[in-house]
Amino acid sequence: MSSGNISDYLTKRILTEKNIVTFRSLSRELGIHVNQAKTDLAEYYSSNVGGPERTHATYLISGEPHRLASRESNGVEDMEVDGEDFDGDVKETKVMLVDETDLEAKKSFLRIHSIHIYSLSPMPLNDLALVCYPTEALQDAEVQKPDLSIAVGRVSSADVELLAIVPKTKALATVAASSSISSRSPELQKFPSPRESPSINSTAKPKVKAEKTEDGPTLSGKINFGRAKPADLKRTDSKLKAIIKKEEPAEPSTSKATVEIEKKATRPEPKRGVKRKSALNMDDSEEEQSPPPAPPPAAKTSKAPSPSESKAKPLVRVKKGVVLSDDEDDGEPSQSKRFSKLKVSTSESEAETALRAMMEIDDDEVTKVSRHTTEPSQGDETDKDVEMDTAEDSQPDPLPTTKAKRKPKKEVPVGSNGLKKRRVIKSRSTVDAKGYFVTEDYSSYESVDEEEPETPLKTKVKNLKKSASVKTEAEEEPSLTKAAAKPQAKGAGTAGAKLKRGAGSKGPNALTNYFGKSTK
Amino acid sequence: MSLLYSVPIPDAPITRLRSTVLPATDTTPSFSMNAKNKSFKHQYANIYFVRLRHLRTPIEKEALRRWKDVAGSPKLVPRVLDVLKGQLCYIVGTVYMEMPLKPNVLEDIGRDHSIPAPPPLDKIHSPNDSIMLEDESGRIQLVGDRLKNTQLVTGVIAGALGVETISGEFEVVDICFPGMAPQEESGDDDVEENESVDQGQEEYVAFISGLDIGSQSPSEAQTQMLAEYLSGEAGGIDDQISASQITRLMILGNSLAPIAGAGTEVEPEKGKKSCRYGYDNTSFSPHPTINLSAHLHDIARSIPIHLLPGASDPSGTILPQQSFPRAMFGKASRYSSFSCETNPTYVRLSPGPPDEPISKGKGKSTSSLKLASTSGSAKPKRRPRTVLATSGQPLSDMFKYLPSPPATRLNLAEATLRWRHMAPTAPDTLWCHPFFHSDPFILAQTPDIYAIGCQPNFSSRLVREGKRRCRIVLIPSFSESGVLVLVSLKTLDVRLVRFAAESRGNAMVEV
Repeated sequence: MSSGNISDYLTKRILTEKNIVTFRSLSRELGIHVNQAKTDLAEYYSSNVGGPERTHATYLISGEPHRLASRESNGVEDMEVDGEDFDGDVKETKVMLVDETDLEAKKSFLRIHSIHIYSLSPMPLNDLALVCYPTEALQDAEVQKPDLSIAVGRVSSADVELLAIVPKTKALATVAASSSISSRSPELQKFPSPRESPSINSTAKPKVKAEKTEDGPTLSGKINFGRAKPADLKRTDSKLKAIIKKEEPAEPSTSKATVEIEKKATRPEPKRGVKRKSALNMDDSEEEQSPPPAPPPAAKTSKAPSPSESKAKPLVRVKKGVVLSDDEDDGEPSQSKRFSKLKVSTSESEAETALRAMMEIDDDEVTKVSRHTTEPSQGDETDKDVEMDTAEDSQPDPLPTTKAKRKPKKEVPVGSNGLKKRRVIKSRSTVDAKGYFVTEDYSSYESVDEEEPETPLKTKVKNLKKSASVKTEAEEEPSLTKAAAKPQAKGAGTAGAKLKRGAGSKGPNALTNYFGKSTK
Repeated sequence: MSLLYSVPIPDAPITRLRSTVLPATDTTPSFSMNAKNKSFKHQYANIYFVRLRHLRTPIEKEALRRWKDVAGSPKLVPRVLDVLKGQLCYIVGTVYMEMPLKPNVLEDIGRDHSIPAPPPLDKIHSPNDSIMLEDESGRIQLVGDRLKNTQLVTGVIAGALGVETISGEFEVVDICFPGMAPQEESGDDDVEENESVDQGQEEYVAFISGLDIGSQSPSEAQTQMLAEYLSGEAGGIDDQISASQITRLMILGNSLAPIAGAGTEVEPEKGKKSCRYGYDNTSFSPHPTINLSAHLHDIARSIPIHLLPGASDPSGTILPQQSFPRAMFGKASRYSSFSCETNPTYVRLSPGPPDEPISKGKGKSTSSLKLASTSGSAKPKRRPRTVLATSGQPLSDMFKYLPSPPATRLNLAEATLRWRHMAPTAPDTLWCHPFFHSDPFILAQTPDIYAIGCQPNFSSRLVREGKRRCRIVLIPSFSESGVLVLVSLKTLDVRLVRFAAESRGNAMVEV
């Protein structure tokens, strides 16, 4: 790099852009050795010193300070309890950053190892912490070009290794290694998980929602619209759906699902259930946040179908649990049912108006949507609440693909740190548009230690059994564990349900397990 | 300023000297909690019991050596309650200090909670303190002038020579402690020193503590200078070469400043804020962690790091503080050479690179390296150095027990070596885990380097006892002093590097 270039660069950075340039940032930017950069800064500074647009320098002085200055407390150590106290001769090096106006500070040194220009700035620096400003950028630069750090003279140790070598993270090894090679790899690393997470997440989330709707009423006991409106809205939603279902078994539900999709696409439409808006918005935003960014549209068409279908199936199960079963042995569903009835009566006006609106819209919308919205998008984006209803209808066709698709789901995603990830249910509260506090559960990934992966599996199996018993058609699935392999539609459905349930109810289950263990 | 400050470029790239971490041994146990010892069900009494049982033997040995020629041929009385009045004898037990000012749970419960609690005292010592010696059978109060010039804290195991007085107290004539624990292969010290003269290269280990990132008075500039120094970029070639001799960096606690509002001075301010906004989101900024990881990433790229949690860090309060989750530190955690350690931790270091053929897995290679060195193969390896590093809570806690003019932190640190216990006050005033089977704070082996972080000032001493040598280093807070302490693995010599940023104008900001 010629000196002309460097001076141009410095003029641009310092005088035009008003940035601070340190020797480090200069060396990283231009790929030159740090010592060369220091010299270049000095040259530039001295050539400009008399000019109209002068720059201000900050110096780094290193050397041995005068004894007295640095350890005046040494002699009186016994008086001053906390004074510095050491035997023998301790060599001290002082590294000091001073402004150009304070360069006489070098008098405080007994012997100076070196002085060099640390940074140049367009203004005098009132706070030397400002020299940290350019550092952030150069961090990235170095990550992107691993060779750079050697070129600029970073003294690195052969002991410094990337995590790939660590035996503990064998799963990650390859990934980590690749990450060392290029800065792009972090993205690559992440990539698998985004893909996986939608599928897994989507199955999980409906379940969460479903459970919530079930639990919500029991917990609050009474429905208090004044207080917990947003939550109620959501509940009414499910209720609503249940009603819809009763009234129009097949048609509306599907239509609704599609409507929902449509809605997503054309969000701002005012017509659609004002009532539901808040709840839906929350859901949408959640969906967009918690799973990693949705794959690009192109990927969606190819990828999405499977998640959507796998998602749809599980839903059936839930829905059955909630709505259909009259002879459940499990208390939960019947309870929810009771509540839904109760709710209907109390929140009649809201629910019914919403319902009516819904149904009307649906009929119009259904045709439209089914015509031009593709299945894939449905799977990807449909609101979970809606899906409960959809599930039954969409069940038939999705089946075959689901089975094939479920395999990949089982893969445990691996995070950037090399640990496996596990889905956990968390809750968060947000303030919705109306200013109410809404608490909702969502699932996200959390990395787990390698030793642990067994426990989730166990709970899953347990849940599986549970779901089997819950199921209305449980009779035909005693061999539920094999369900995944079963070609039958229902088998697949249950498997999905089990998976979903495992995910959805992990929190409570984990807790009960915990207590159970301790009592043992 | 027309002076031209140019810096020559080294002909060949400077390479960093290396040191290798060896696996832990029985005498340098790991402090990490696993499923086996994680239980909180046990009583703390076990710790005292185990401690006494372990240290009784060395004390009895030492007592015998020391007092066998004393006129009156004192006998060991195995139980303190069996001491006979008027008979010269010696007893062994755990020191317990009865201190009126010591924090007391019952007082805390009985306190009127409408009044804010009084701030914790700097010193809990008072003239009314009484010292007792306790074993399984009971306690006996110690009196006598000898105690006045002995520094004792609760939990120390000691032997006392004396006579029981009429009033039932034990008049102490002399006190003995187990003395410094044996050291690994301590025979070849002379050889080492010669060797170090031969070779020009000296491997250093660097210690800092108290980066205090996120504190009110930011020391950003110093921290950055530190990173640049360690990566061998700052200064001239001399500086760069000396930086390249630093083989690893140990960060001893307090990397993050305490959350604002935790300090007593910030309290009222925070109260005001909370009135206004309902919550104070300034206290929960993730920024310090991000900042810290950026610095760590910068440093980790050139040098292996050992990071210990400290008192102000977001980690458990009870000792041993467990290591930080790596994931906290973002990109830095991708380096295998970045290791999060427990708060007291032993690190065994062997200067030089690991043996060639097995340099892949550290754990395996180092054990065989050890074998090679003991078998005295062609190339004589210097013996490994054991570093005991803590973030300073034990020392700071012990320091409260003693009146400060006579007591210094350095003396106290030295005393812990002779007590063979690094945290005697542990279950009493220093919170620790209820260990059942062992007391990991017993020093079964004297470390070569005993580094104590988060201290108000730098001090250091080379303690010798027989052939045992230990370099004690008290490391001050980096954010306040800008001090980086280097200890040579070869000679145990200490060097200081002090970073300062002198802001413009007259104010010298040594933040």
